[in-house]
Amino acid sequence: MGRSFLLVGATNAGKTLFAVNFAAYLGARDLRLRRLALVPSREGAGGAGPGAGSGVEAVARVPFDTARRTLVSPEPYKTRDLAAIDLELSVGKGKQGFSVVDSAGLAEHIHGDADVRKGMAQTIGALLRADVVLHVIDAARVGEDGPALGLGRIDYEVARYARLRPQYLILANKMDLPEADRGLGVIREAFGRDRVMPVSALTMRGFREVRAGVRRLL
Amino acid sequence: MASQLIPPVGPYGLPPDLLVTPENVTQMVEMGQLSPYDALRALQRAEALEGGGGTGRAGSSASNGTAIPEPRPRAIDEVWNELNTLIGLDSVKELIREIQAYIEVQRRRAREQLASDPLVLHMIFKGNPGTGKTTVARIIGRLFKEMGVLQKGHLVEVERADLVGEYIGHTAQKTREQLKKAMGGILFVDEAYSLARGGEKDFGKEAIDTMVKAMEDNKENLIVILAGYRREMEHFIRQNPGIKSRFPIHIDFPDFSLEELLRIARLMLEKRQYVLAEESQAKLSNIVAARSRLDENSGNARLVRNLIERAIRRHATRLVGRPEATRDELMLLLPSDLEEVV
Repeated sequence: MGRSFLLVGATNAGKTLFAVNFAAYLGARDLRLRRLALVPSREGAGGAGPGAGSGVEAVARVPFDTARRTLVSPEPYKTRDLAAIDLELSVGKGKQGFSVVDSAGLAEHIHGDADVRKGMAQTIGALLRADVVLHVIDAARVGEDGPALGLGRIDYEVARYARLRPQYLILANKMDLPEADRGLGVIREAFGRDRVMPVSALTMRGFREVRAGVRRLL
Repeated sequence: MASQLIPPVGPYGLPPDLLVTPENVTQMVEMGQLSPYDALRALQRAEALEGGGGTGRAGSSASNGTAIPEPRPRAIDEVWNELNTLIGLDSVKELIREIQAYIEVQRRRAREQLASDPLVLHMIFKGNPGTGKTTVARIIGRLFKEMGVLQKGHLVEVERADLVGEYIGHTAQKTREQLKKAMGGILFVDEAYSLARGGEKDFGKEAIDTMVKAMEDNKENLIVILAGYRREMEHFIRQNPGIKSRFPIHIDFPDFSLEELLRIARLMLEKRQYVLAEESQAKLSNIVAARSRLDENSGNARLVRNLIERAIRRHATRLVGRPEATRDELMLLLPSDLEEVV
């Protein structure tokens, strides 16, 4: 199956758009989406979701246009469960499969909506077992006066936890916005140049570097 | 790994009876008992409690760039115990404690995302022979290994002849060979000033250059210690200004006092299960004192060790023909066993 690369970060950082466009960039024909039920729902947590319990994963093939229209939104808390996108990269003469796992964005506080909370719980569960963590940060919203190194509190804690993982990369997203440059500087200052990659999920800027980074970690 | 109980956390305050574990953390987030923020903080604590460099995925933190591996406290204590059994050397111990604290704090600063200096830990040891330079270097190697600064922490002891070759190109090759052996540990260059003798044309300079290059290329995993007589080393540093900035840690090894030398002697004998007769103690003291006056470079532990080893051999010759010698006699060194080593 190959390794899994978990996209994680605050809500509305651009994880899902990155996932969809990265798949397109790598030349996939359409989006092969596997809903993951990594967190077994315990009794009392409502009815079993699609495929939960039985361990069967629902696979959907979605054209990219449809995916961008239906999965991505400017509103927060759009993504509510884990979804793996199966991809391939040519390595040497062969191909190596891997998956990019999109997750529900994290918020600092306890959210009122049980569905949103469930999504965040799944994200944290996935963070516990991810092979590689790709931390997506909205660089346009990073400022030097932010509470923790200019990062939002939740991004700061994600970073502090995820850097204990063996493989941890930061995608400084939304580099198409002019405010993002300063944010990128702040992130690089805090985490060093090596593990920070500037990208724009929208314009696909920086995807070549991400592909190279992913290839190294396969 | 997973079943560790961790105390309640966070400024957001959990009820004190609520314990978060990696198993129940997702459920608690889902049920709205714990915010994602507090969940992440709890997980960080869980990892910290596991003792850093420990198991599984967290183990290979050495490979991810800025992260510095976490220390393992107990092994470090053992190394310190050993260092503390060394007699005298108070200023040396103090300095090593400072270095250890510095590394530790740089590491904590890195964890808090504060600017932290890269660790440059190359050293210069100045002191007479037998003042503990090699012994201390060996212990520092182990200390750094336990702290996660060095991968192996072994000591490769070399001198000029091991580094300097006989024809052009030979020196770089010989030096690189020794450096390769020392990777992950410490390259200890004894009488390092001898590399600078003979001026510009001497191959010693090439050995220094090769060493400095390797130090830059292997910042993470090699420590070089240049050692030698104080006066010569100071001259050497003055002649080679590049050395001073690349070796920020200078440790002075003072000569042992007479009293310290006698304590060293007693400790050596104790380890070997011998005792000195009363008159033997006085005689030993006289010999050591006389030697110290005679030669300023003799205030050292090697003299004591040689004296004692010689005494043990003479004691053996004395008793070998006497199968009836008692247990006490087999342990007791008489004044006649002690003889000045020339």
